[in-house]
Amino acid sequence: MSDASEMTAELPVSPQDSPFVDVRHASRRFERRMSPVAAFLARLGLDYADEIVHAVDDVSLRIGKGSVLGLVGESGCGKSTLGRLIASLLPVSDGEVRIDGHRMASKAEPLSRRELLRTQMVFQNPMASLNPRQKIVDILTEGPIYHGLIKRRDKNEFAAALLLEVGLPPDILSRLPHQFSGGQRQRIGIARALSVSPDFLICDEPVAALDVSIQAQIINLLLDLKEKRALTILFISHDLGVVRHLCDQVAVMYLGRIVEMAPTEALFSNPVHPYTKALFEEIPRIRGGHREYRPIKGEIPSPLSPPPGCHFHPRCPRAIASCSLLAPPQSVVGDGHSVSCWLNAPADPTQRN
Amino acid sequence: MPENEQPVLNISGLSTVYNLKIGQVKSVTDVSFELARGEILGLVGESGSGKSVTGLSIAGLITAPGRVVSGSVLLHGQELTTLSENALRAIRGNDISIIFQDPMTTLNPVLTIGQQFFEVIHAHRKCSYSQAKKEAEAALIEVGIPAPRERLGNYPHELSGGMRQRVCIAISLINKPSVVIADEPTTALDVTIQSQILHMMQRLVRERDVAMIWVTHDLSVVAGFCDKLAVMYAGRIVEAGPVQQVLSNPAHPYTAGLMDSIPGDCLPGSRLEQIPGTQPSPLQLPSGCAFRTRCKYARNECAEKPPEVAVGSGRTAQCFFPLTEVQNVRRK
Repeated sequence: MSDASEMTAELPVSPQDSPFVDVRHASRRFERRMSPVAAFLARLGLDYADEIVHAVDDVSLRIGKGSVLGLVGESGCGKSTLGRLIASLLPVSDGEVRIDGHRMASKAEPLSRRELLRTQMVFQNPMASLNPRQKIVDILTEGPIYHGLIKRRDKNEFAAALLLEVGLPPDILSRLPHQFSGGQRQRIGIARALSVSPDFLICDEPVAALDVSIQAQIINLLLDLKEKRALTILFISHDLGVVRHLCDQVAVMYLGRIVEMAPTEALFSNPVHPYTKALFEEIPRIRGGHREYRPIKGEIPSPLSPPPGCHFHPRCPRAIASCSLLAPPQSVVGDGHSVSCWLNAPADPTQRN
Repeated sequence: MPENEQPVLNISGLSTVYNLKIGQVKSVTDVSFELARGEILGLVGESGSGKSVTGLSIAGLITAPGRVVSGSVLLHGQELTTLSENALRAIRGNDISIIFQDPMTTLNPVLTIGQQFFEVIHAHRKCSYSQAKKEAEAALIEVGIPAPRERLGNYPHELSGGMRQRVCIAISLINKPSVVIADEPTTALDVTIQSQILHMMQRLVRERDVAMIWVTHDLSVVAGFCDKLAVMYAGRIVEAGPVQQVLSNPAHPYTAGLMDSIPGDCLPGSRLEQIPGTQPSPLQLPSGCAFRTRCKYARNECAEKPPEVAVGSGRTAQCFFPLTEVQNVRRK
């Protein structure tokens, strides 16, 4: 592992020179300590150890101001954990997250509340993320009142304006979340995130739980808000079609690592990593008619015991000998297009940076 | 598929209602279709459109306060809606089987996979446990599960989501049914696993000549996988026909709207065509065509019940003003 991380090249700088969000070699481990019995047995020389899950493993990425980065991957690949790290809902185990130059979650230089408020999150399931016993007006104004952004007596006006902005009628202020459909609830979730005027929005699968016709409405809303409020967005999703539509850049994640990252068009027209290729092959398409599915074999391995070397090699149709030995280095294959795969690694180690 | 063969399953005028305290919900209204051996019908609709209830009604699984109020379900010419519960039990899991959406809640968490296979086999024919195990092993190999013998001793929580769904599929096919109703079986799975399951189902349907109803909300899965398509809205089938023809030239404005809402063909970053509004409450459906409140082509006539019109060979649409090819070209 140690050589692998040394070889990891610095990421290609995205079009903007000073990235708004800068994640540097961030890792997050979750540990499950041995039970006392297992610890005793381990001391007797038996095969017991703490279980460690590398949910996010040495991830670096940058998002330019005002752009949308899509983060795609299968369930369990660590994309939501990465989102939470960036939102500083979870501390990083290693590495750092900087937003607009400020280091997040650092004990040495703690951030002011005002700085923290600049990042807000929209969650997947709008039923579970809205308090069922709070009125809409309170859901929308609790944050800004607490942080002193608005006065309590202004809360009705403030909430009504927010609701209009996300396309809901302003006369629903005193209703409760259960009185709304899934799409309306997701609009309320977005309005709540916007209530403290953030400039960075992390959307964790915001449309996955919605019907297609409603999904289109929410995507349009996000597009509008991005323009109007000049938002930077991290869009976490497993739906490649939605990501292609909404995002400027896409990062593909597999078992805790980013395997490929590129501007959207470059990635979709020329996927390089075998995993990305396989993912694209398998998107069901409306046009193109009846087809034979040629799936990649196997399932995403347990993050408790990830395969050595490249995590994807047991399922990869083009795996070579070195794939199972060392984690592949990151190589640049185009403008802002980087990939972690031995097949694209420069032969000469001196060229790797 | 053979053209002039008797359909295995013939549904006509099927209606199911739920009598609730707050009123009567018409979940399924006047649904008709037929299905031949080796055919896959994609039943598509948004949540609450009645597609799952249609599946449950066919299998006789509607329980109070729901009730099938009219219509007939003919399986090999035998009427199912009037059968007694005992007679139905002999058919369910045997000649008709269902695969549900969430494999975690379908499998019994306190029984091993092997015991669950045995239950299903033993309910329908005499069979020793060891023989059931042999059959189960063969079935698990069929659905692509490695080391089937060890898996039979596992509990459901020891398997991944994709594995569990494969087990459910193997169990549903073990008694060689002629009709399989799959209720969103891949919705809870990742795209790579979904692709594996679709691949496997394509093969199994062909090999075993079963008729399958694939209930889903995902039009793009239907496009690559099914032979026929039925689009449901507010309890009615608003459009039906061969998949390629319907999708290349949708006749009902709702089908067209659904297709346009899926990002893919339009310019990235542009606004998606969206269907305005939300589905009407099933307690107070608009009169006539239920879609008219969201339809941009709606006129005064739409307040009447729309006629079922033939729009090409084997295709129907419930609409006064089905879209023409010219309109569809302009739509794109």
